[in-house]
Amino acid sequence: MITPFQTRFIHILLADDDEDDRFLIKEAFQRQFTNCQVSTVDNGEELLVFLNDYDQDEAFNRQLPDLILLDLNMPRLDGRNALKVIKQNPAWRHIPIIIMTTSDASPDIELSYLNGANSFITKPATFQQLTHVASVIGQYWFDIVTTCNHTVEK
Amino acid sequence: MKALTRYLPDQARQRIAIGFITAMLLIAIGFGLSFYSYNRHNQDNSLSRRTDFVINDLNEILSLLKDVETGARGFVLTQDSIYLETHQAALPVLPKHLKHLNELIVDNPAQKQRFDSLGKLVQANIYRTNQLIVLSPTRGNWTQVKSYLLLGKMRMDDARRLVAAMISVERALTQTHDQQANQSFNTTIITILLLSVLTFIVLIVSYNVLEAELTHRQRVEDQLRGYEAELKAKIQQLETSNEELERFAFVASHDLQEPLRKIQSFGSILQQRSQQSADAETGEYMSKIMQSAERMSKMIKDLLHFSRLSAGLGSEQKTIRLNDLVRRILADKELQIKGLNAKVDVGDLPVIKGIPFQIEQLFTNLIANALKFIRPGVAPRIQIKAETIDGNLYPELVSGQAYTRIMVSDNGIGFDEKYLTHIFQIFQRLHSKTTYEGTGIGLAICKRVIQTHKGHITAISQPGQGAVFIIILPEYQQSLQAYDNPIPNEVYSYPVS
Repeated sequence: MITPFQTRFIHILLADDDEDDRFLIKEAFQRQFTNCQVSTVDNGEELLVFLNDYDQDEAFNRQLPDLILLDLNMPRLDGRNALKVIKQNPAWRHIPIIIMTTSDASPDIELSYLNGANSFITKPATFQQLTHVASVIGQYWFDIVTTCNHTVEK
Repeated sequence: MKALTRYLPDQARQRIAIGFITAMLLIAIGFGLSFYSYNRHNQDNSLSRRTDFVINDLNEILSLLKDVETGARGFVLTQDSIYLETHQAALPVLPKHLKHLNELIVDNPAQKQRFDSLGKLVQANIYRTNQLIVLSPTRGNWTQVKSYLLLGKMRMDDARRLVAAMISVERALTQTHDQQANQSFNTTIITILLLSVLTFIVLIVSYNVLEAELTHRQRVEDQLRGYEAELKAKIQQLETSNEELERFAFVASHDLQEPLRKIQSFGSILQQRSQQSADAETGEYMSKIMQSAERMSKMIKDLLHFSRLSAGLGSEQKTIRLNDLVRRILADKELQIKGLNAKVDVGDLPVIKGIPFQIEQLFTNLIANALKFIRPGVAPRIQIKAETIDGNLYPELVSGQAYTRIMVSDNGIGFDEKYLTHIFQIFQRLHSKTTYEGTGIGLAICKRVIQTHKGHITAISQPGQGAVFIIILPEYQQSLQAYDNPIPNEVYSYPVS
């Protein structure tokens, strides 16, 4: 287990329609980082609802998620459109979005980056690989990269 | 006519041509005969008119002779010159009639002879009546007058007989002539009738042949149309089923990956746990599960790759410099080549037209195979060279068309040629998974690429003797001058020592 690089609490929002994937990804991140909270939603619509309601939730210290993990193929509102909506919203577009999907088709990759995705990761096959991905993501986004301070001014 | 000759088969064309030519000839003959017959008819008409003239002249001459005779007789009896008037009037007219008659009968010798006799008779009578007129006033020699009168009567009788004979001859002549003319007219009519009937028959036969031919052609065309429609429907059906199949392969392999990934993910968690719990048997089974899952995952990925290849994504044809392409592939495999101490010789390769990523896949697979199936203890040696051949060398190609033959040869383990078709099929392998890794998709992809490029792929090999993979692609026709910025294709070896 890797020690967290920041003392502050890290909030990751995961949007995936597959229950097993939600479990595995959440597990992988929480095994890597003790100070990490992974919230999950089932689809794009719920994701937008979650972002809208962030300031109602005291538990996250009035913070937007530090990172969004987004699946592309989801019912109701899929990841492609959710990505567009988030990246076009001035209040949300600073949040790093990592596409985590089974697809490795080049149109999906290209379109995701064009619409403002920060990374594109094809879901790894084994749990070991997944924990490795989780640790790299954590190291990169919460240690190496300086992200915005997203405390909401009231 | 030209349109007909273009579409009709030779035999029918000949028959129809003969039919029409015959009909035209018959019509021409009919026309000629009609013209001839018309001319004959005209001639006959003028002939009978001449006969009329002749008879007229003869009667006129006879009548004039009578006038001369009766005038003379009257004068002799009465000595009144009033009787001489008719005599005097007839005298100048007679020679005119004689001359006219002579012209009319000059070509008939028998009549001419009679005419001459008649002419002499007329001359003699005129002379005699003149003598009589001179002699009579004297009245002295009555006996002489009497004999003169008797002679006149005899001569008149002779003249009458002659004229009657001539008229009857002329009449007979006209009659035979008319008969002949009638006969020939009848035969002409019959001939023309026959010709017309024959023309009709020929035309009807020709029409029938033409109609039969056209009907036959129409039937053949309808049949062809039917076949065409059938073929189009079949092609569409094939295209649809092919599309469905490719889509199926894509969807199936894509969706198959999903549960497999779960097996692998949760399996790996279990595997970790079994390692911690130190249960050796469980660990072994878990690793078998994981190996199988990984193998299946690879196959699914290959299948996906294969189906994408045939789906023709990004399948735009471009000019490809094979030397550049091969150089790039070799650069990618530099580490492996150096590690194996392999020597790769690349000859002068042509510029071809093809789908770049597919052609790259083709050469990557062939070179990877050559570097994979090596003989232990023998430094791998790979040769890539090209040449131009004609399509008649291989039955799979179009004869008379130029092709580029590229040969990738190695000195590896080779294979038995009875497996030649086997090795190009998807997921077919000649060796166990443990000896040589891979799912058996490489050469299947090569074959697919070659098929989309309308070429041919085959191989020559013997176990332990190395293998030569032969790929044949249509030769690139565009002149090299059109190619911008040409770089000479030098022969090079890899690695450079």
